[in-house]
Amino acid sequence: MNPRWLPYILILPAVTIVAGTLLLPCLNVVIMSVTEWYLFAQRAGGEGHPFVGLANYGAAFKSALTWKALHITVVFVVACVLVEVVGGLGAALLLNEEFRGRGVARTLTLIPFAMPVVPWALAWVVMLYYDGIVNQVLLRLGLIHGTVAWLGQSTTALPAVIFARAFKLVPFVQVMFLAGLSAIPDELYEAATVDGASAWRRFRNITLPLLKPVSLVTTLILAVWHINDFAIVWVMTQGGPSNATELIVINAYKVAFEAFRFGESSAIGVVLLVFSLLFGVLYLKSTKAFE
Amino acid sequence: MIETIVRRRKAILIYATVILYVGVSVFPLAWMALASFSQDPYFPLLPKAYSAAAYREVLASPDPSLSFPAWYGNSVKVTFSVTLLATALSAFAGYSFSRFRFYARQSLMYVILVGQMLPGVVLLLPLYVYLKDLRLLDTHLGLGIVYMTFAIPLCTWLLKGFFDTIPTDLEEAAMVDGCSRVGAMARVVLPLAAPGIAATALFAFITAWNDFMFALAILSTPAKFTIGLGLLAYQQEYFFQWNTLMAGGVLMSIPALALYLFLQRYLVTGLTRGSVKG
Repeated sequence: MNPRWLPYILILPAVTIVAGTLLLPCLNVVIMSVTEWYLFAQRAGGEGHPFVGLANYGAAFKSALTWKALHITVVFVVACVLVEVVGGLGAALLLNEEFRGRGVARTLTLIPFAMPVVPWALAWVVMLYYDGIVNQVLLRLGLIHGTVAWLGQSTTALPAVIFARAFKLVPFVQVMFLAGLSAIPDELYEAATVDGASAWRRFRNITLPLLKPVSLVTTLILAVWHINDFAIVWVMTQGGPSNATELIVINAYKVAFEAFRFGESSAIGVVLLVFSLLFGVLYLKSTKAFE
Repeated sequence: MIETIVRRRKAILIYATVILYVGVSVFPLAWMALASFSQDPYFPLLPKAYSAAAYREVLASPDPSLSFPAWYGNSVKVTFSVTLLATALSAFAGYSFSRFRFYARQSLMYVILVGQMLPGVVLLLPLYVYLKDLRLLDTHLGLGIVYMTFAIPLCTWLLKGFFDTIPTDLEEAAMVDGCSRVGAMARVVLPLAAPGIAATALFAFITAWNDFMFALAILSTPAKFTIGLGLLAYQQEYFFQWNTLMAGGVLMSIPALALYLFLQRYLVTGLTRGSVKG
């Protein structure tokens, strides 16, 4: 065997699978988005999927529901990332201090991140129920006057879902920032202290600037995850009540698997694809993980 | 004197905040565990009496169409197969990407890295159509194939990173001593990369174990459900059976939690290099 071929032989199985399950579907979803494509109902005229130009895009973006879903997605993504980055930074600064039991604290605080999303979401569904612990505790503390159907009314459902989602990812940001903090040399702080810099100034002028690269990568990863978030919302609300938590991904799923309009769903998918690729390229540019 | 007081105050403040933060983080899991040991299926605020009745019921599964042990078995089967296959195939690819410079290497690596950022729901539609054409809808084989979309890129990328940390001198020395390239890979590199390979496999395991969306779209027979999908089906059928629902949730969480405990050391690597999902 010619050793020149060895690199190709080694990557062949993996690359074939990636081509079949990633590249080909990407190509196919673009094609589906410009053809008439229903899952069950065949055309009256016969078989096949005729080319329809941008009709699917027109149908998708004429629908008020799509625009509402896009709007909700933006709110969801921005709110989640904001809560997670602020919470995660605070948590990392706290757990970066020296104290006994720090290792245990770092491990225990990872639990929300480490839990599978379905039990996590189901636990919140039960805890946020009328008789659930959240309502009962708030009631006893006098913070609410009657039980609140957190997931049952459109004003509170989205904040409740954002809370459950962001809570789960604060530990992720914490881990990333802790890694970033440990890379900052102690000498910098010592020198600044000798020069009489206050704790706040050391934080502003040393910690924050040096955490910038980590926070950029972290924010991009979070944004990509949240644009694609499906499971937590589906389990908690299925996009309801009255579409108040219907993210664009949930919307695309429903158009495909409840209305069987695969063409129209693909059109939404292609738009999502473009956004994800955009963030993906930004991520590649912001990280040195690549080479 | 003043300095000690200030320092002690700071220590107390830190401990108080840490205890509060740890308490909040542990709360949902602790509450689930408490709820799962409730004697009564439904309870306002907190359970009144405790027993393991919920676990007995979940494991005995009186309702054959909503059988928890069957779902657990399905998840184990699919997850194990995907993990084994993806790790093995990715080990070759990761080694090749790490050690050789060849045509289109860079672009292929871009594809793999960006590939894992693609929205699952976008890939789902074409994959669903392929499975439909192949008559693999509602089968575990079909689900396993779909899991390769994230398993292969994740594993390849992580493993390339682990192979990069092993110095090439070792293999070169082995090859000078008469080992073939494949022999050097098998006898020198693989043993050294074993911890990284194990970590990669565990990350792939967790990701497949936690999946919900692909299973939701592809599986339709309740007996074939994976555990996450089964839990939701159970909740929709028996909403007020909080104790059994949470017992199921605890049983699904245990493997993921245990594996993360092992993986803590590799977490940052996994999170930044392989976009392990949360």
